[in-house]
Amino acid sequence: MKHLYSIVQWSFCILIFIIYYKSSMSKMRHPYAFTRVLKEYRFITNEILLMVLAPCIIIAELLAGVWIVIPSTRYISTLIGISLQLLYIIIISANNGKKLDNSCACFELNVPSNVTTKSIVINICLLFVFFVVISLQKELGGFKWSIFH
Amino acid sequence: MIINISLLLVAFIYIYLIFRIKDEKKFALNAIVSNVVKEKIDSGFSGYLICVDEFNLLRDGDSLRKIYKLLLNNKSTLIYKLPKDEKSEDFDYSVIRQLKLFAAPCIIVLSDGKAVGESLDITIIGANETIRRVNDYIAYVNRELKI
Repeated sequence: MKHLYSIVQWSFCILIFIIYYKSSMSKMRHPYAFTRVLKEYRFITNEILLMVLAPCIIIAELLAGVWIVIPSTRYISTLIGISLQLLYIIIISANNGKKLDNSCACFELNVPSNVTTKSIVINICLLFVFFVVISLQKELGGFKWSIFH
Repeated sequence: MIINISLLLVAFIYIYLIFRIKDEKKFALNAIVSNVVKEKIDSGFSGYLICVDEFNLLRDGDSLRKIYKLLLNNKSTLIYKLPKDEKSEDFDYSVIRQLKLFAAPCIIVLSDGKAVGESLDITIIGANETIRRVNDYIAYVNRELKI
C-alpha cells in the first residue's frame, strides 16, 4: 500500500512542479504585467507595496514548484503552495465575474483576465492537491525533515 | 544546503525582478492605461495616437524601447493598447477605425502586420522588423511624427 501512496504522491508532486514552474516562469517573463494585474484585482492598491510584494509572490511560486520535488524541502513547499493557493482563491473570489481591461492574459491559471467560477474551482483543486501531498506524506511516515526542526 | 543555495538564488531573482518591474513601468505606463486615451478623446485630443496590439511589445528589447522613448517624449502622442476581440484571441482592429474618426490625424499601429487590414488606411510599424532594423524605423517614426 505504501508503494501506491508513494507513486500517487510523486505523481502529484510532479504535476505541481510542472504547473507551478510554468506559471512562475510566465510571471517572471512579465513581472510588470503581473503587478498590473494584481493592481486591477485590487489586491493591494499601494503601488510601492505592490512592487515589493509581487516579486515575492513570483519567487514563492517558483520555490513551491521546485522544492516539492525535493523530499527534504517538500514540507515547506506544500506550506508555501497552500498559502499561495489560498491567496489566489481569495483574490479571484473577490473579483468573480470581473473582466480585466489591461491584462496580457499571461497568467490565466492563478490570476485570469476573465474571472469565472471555473478559474476559482481550478485553484481550489490545486489547493486540494497540496493537501493530498501532505496527507499522503503522513501515511508514508511523516516528514523526516522540515525547516522548523 | 538546498535551503541556503535557494535563498541565495531567491535574493538575486528578487533584485532582478524589482529592477525589471521598475524598468518596464517606465516604458509601459502610458501604453496600458487605455482610459487615458478615452479621456483625451473626450476632451478633443488631436495629437498622434500609437496603437499597440501586443502587451508584450512593451517588454522586449532595447531597440523597441528607443522607439517608445522617442514616442513618449512627444507630448502630442498617446499610446493605446488595442483591446482583444471577445470571441477570439485576435485584437479588435475595428477599434482603430473608430479611434481614427475621433482621435488623431495620424495613427501608428505597432504590430506584426498580419491582422491589420490594408483597408484601414493606417500606418503600420512591424514589431519584429522594428527590433531587427531599429535605426530605419526610428527614422521612419521621426518622419511620421515630423519630429
